[in-house]
Amino acid sequence: MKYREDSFYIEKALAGNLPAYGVLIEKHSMLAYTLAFRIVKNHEDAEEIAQDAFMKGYHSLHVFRQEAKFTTWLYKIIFTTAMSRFRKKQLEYQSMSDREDQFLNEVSEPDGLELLHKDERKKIISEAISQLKEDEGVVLTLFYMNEANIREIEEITGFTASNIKILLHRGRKSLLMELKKSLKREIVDMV
Amino acid sequence: MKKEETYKDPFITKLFAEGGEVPPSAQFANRILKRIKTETKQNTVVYTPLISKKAWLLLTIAGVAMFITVFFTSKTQATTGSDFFGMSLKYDFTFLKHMAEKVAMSFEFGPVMKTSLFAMAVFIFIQLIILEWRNRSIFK
Repeated sequence: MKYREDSFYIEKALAGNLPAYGVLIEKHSMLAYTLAFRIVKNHEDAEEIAQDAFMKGYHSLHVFRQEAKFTTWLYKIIFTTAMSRFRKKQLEYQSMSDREDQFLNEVSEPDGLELLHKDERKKIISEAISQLKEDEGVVLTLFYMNEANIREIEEITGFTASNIKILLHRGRKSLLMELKKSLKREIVDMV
Repeated sequence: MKKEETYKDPFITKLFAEGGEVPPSAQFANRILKRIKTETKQNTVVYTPLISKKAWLLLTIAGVAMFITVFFTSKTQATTGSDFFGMSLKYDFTFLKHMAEKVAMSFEFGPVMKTSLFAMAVFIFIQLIILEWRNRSIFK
């Protein structure tokens, strides 16, 4: 489905057209949900967080009539809610600076991925992305899926530009490592 | 922008395009719309007038009756009088006296009490009008 600009649906929803907001939800539900899932790593919580964010969005629609970007606001809500929920569950959550830098060496792209069947490949990629640390997962998702620039990611997450760049770099390496591990397991299973 | 592009790894872009999405449940949008509808229904307050039409009618009749009784009845039996906005007004509360006698009570309002009661009645009446007006403007 080809969607129009957000402002089109927002104007209609503000005029009382609820289905227009439904279209806006469908337009952004995938990324909103993915973002929540990358942090809480749980379908139930992710669904609840994304739903609540869309509810809040509906009640604040008049704000987006002007300059505010709907998605930036929405993802910010999702990120904040999901992070606070995650922190509650994981009290021992380590801050970025505390982590050991285990990726000093460059990681190359894994071989053999292309040889797998499309569904298997998708499953392995999805699993590898799920293994990423929450902040890495969020930053990579926003950067590669939403095509958000660093400034937008700064606005959504509250991280500094340099932190985002580090997370992008580390996340990329982590993902490649996880992918290699998954591929190895897959190959062992196949043998 | 160009600087940011250097971070964009084409291989990772491909990976995310292929397996980056986590789809929500099938009824995701519908569930939210249902929640909005339910919430809107719960929050809808039906306008009910503060004072019903019947009550307004009774109030008007009572007001007019009071006005007539106070200002225009039996000038000869007036117990007291005062100059009100240049008009010589006579208050006649003898009917109250008769009523009081009937219930074996005898009381008489002094001029200060009478003026206070009148002022209070006027203020209450004004307040009612303001409240009604505000009530209507809220539900507009």
